[in-house]
Amino acid sequence: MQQLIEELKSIPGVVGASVYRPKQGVLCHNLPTLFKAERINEIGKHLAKIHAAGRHNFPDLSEVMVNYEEATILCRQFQGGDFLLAVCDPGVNFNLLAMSMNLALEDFHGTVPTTVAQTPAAAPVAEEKAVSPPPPSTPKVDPAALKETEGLVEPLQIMLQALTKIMGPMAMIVFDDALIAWASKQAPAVSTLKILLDILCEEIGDQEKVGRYRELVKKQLSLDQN
Amino acid sequence: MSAAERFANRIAQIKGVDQFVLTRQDGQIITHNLSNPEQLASVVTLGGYGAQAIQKSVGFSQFRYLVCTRPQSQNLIVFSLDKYFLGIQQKPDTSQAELVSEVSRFLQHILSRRKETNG
Repeated sequence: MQQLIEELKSIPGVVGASVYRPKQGVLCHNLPTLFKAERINEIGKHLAKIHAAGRHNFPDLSEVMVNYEEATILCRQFQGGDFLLAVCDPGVNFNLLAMSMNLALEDFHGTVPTTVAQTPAAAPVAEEKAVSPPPPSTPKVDPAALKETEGLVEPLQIMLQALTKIMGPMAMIVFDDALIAWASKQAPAVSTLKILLDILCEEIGDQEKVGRYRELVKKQLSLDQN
Repeated sequence: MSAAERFANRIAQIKGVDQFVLTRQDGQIITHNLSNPEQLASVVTLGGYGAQAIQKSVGFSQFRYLVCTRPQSQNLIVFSLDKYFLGIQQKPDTSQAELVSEVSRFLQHILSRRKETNG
């Protein structure tokens, strides 16, 4: 991974790069010292959220780019859900950067066929977390793929739309987390949607809102409301 | 014609604009040209929040725009406008640079006029 971010940094206009892993933090980076550890973590956290929100609407989303007067930040998801972040000059050549990123990632995938747990070679920001043992090997659930599963497309869409009415923009994040929890416990199917509904209601918390949400879903879906 | 309608008409005329939604920072939809704007509005609001959170955390100035890149340039581009976020879905195979430039110029024009009006 260190080689990957070093390759990116060698591109003209790239100030530095980092690899961010959700729930663990930054695995490695070569950004200037001006970027403090907790700030790099914050950047990764927010970009991962933006990426997740974007993929709700656009499963084909490839990368997220945020432009500020001082810099432009590019974020792309790669192996195992990690994110590669590049901080660049605002005037960087993005075609060159995108192509170089593709090549570097191809190279990386070619040389590192293992799933996760590369030891950060330098500047380990979240050192304590990075060296902790990898999580138990639970099957990975892809919420975007789940939402396109035959038979589930419509009910999940209805449940998400209703949740958006109750929770606003945060609904998308909450819904994905709930989908992962639901699909990790049992086979995702129409017959088990009530369990998903219960998970979502637990996330909503507020009893009045829970009541409204159940009502909204009930109107459009005939779930068993025991 | 309300200010929101005038704004919507002007945005729709910009080359490369396919769908758009203008939201307040709390997620409230102000104007749009979609049949079902809630989903896109949520993405736009969350994207705007995230970009602002990064700027506060790192100490950058106001974010200019955010791009969710998709195949065939059907990108989602989010702009910041005072207390609002404007999300635009780009028409396939159009120039992102031109779209960003023209929308930025229009938004800048609105902000300048508001400053003049407020003295």
